[in-house]
Amino acid sequence: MATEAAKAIRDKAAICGVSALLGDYPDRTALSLAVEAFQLALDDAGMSHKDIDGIMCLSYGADYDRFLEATGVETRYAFQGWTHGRFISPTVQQAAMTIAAGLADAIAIVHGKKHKAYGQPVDHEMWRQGLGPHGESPAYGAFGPALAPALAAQRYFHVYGGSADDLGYVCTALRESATLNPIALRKTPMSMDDYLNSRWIIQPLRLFDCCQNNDAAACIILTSAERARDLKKKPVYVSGFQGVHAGRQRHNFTLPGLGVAQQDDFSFRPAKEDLYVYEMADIERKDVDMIMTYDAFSPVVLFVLERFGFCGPGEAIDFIKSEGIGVKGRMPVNTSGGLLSEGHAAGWNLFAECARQLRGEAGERQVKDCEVVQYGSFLGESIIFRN
Amino acid sequence: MNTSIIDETTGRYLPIQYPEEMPFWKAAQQRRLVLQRCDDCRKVLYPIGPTCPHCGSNKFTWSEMSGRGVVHNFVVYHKPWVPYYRDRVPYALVQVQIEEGPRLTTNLHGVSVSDVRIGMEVEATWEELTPGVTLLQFKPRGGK
Repeated sequence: MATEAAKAIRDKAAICGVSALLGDYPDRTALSLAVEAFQLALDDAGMSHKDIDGIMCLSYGADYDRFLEATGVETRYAFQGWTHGRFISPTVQQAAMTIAAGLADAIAIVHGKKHKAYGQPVDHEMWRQGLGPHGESPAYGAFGPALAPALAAQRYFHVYGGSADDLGYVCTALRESATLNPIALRKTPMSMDDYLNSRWIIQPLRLFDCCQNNDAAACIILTSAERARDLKKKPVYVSGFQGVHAGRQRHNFTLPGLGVAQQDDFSFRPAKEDLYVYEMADIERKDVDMIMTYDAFSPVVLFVLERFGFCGPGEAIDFIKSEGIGVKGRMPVNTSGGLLSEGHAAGWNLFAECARQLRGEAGERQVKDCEVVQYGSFLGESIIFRN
Repeated sequence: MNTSIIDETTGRYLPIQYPEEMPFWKAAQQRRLVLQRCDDCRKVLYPIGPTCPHCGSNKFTWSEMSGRGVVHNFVVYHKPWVPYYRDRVPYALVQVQIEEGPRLTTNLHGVSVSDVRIGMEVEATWEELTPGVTLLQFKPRGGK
């Protein structure tokens, strides 16, 4: 349940500047990309680097102190964490709470990463036997983040029917949106046949069920709602949020109940206490105009729809086919093409898209009358953004 | 206790054997499956760990498991993540629910990958990786 304290910080902070750089930058360092993303976001906000007094960096690329040293930014609230994937929305939530509490006036969340570089902590992730986040076990050939969504998809189709081929409905829809996005990396039109002809990676997942890796940088600047109203762009209010739900029943890349690893077997239906994000934002689920989700792998698009009750257990494929998740669909999802087709900036480009849609800057892929965007994911973490 | 990550002769990844897991690995050398059974709630703990996630007790006894189970889930690797698997794909990775409750992630021996099914009845088998490391695997019950 959303407490009175939570409701009191509704709409107190807003996104005021965003940027995303995706692609191949062979002659650039991660720091250089991060600085460029920072400058682009400042320009987007109409701010100077002297306006920034809070910084949040990832454990990829340059450390926060190197970044600050390079940019000459002096801060009173610096934070660095393993803030990719599941932890991108908690990072935005922390920034919003920090601003609401008056501990910083404007916080830049900065990401910069080279696809191929040595010495990044996350590079060890897929080798961590018994400790890894996706069930890795190298002695058995159990490698890579794709393992967990493959296990989840296999159980999903076993329990509810359908087959791996149905994931093509997700991938082709997102690709179609990407064709309307000038910065998308994968924007060649993809038919169902193209999808079905792509090679298996970890069956039931094919190549196009997996996002690509690329060089990337992104920056999201948040400030107080009051100040955001005086800046260059229309504020994107952080209206409500809820955290990552984690535990033995909530394996990564999986819905509760699918029976991955030690999870119990049952059909997950969200209860009221699983959905307090809507109460904090003072909206109802039916008010959501579009969804952004961390689609590193296609099955999670099914899972987010069921996690938040947009459809019932096992109904996501039918929902996608009947309602449509494209830009003109009844429930657009990842209008940028998502991580699957736009590209992967540790997920941060998803928030850039939230802002662009709510400001009406999304060009050909603009969702009509977009007023409420829900960022949400299979582990239940969510943010409601409004304009 | 194996602490090397890769078998230098085959290039295969070896399991890291943590000190607290040694009863499991020593039993595996004798081709016996033992896991921790909680002294208080009597459930089997898994993954191997310092406390019972069911009741919070830290008291447990390493206990012999039946070795029988059912394939609860599987996936098939087609991409060789490391050179060792270049000539070994496709291979199946299974999660076997053993009779005592936990689900163990292994490979499935003695059956072609296209015949692996959820619900298959399986039993423990053992793969000697090095003279000091024997790995738990599963095979169809009664199969080779």
